[in-house]
Amino acid sequence: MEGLLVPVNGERLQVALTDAAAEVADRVLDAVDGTQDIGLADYVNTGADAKTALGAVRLIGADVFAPHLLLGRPVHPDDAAVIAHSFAVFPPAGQAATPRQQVVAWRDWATSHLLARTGQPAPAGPDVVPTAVPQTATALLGPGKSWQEWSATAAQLSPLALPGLGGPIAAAMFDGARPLAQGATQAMLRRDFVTAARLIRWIALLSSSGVRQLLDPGLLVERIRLYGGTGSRLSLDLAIAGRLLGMEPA
Amino acid sequence: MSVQHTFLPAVAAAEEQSALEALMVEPEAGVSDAPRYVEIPQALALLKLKLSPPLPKEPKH
Repeated sequence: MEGLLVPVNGERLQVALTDAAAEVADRVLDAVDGTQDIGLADYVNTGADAKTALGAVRLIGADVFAPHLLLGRPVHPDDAAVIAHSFAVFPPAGQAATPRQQVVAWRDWATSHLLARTGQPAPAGPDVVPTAVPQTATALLGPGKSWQEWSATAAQLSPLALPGLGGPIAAAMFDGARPLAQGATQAMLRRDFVTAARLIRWIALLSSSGVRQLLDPGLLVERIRLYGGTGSRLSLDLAIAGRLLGMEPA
Repeated sequence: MSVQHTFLPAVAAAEEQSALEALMVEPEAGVSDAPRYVEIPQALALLKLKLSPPLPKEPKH
């Protein structure tokens, strides 16, 4: 069940994790676009490499709750247990000193915050799943950042662009209509559809909350769908943005 | 509903943690203003066409 990750180099580890994350994203996408369960527990328990699968769950993070938050689907206790196990096998770093660590800490906070809402006991133990709210929102998205840097950070934090999550990062986005629009425009022009879709998620979330945006997120979603936006995680970002906007699944 | 009990793999090594962390902070390229490389379909065929020798002229009578 374990060990396939251990003796290989970092690049191969990333490839294995990316492939597994695509499978998890496909499961979430099917649940967002259809009626089936994600089946995280089934995926992790029946796969050849449980550790990679749990790493993929950590990587997809809060997005595994998208069917629950967007469509009101219940979170299966086995799936909640798998999410808690992913924190046990890939424990969060204690200190968040660098911007990279701060982004990771916020993504972990979103996952653990939503996990706690399910009311499921944490099989991994209360000390493993992070519960404290990071104090770095201003450092990451405060004044003084260029719009390029700001929008890149917003894209990295896109799993937090879910309805009902809230928190300081979402609050910071409410003042970021301009850098969000600039970043999304730049990404579209560069055909960097991955970054564009992540920023469009924020624009869609804010737009669905009644905050006027400089770009029409629905048109951007349609354009990426037309212009070859492919890949499991990109498709999931577009599906979440589309659901936020009340669009029909692709 | 009962929670399924699963066998937990060993805690990830530092290298595995680092690989996961690197993926969690993607995409970093958004900071750059440099244009992304986009492969042009049939670019090689176009280039060959441009480099091909000129057509032979018809001999004057």
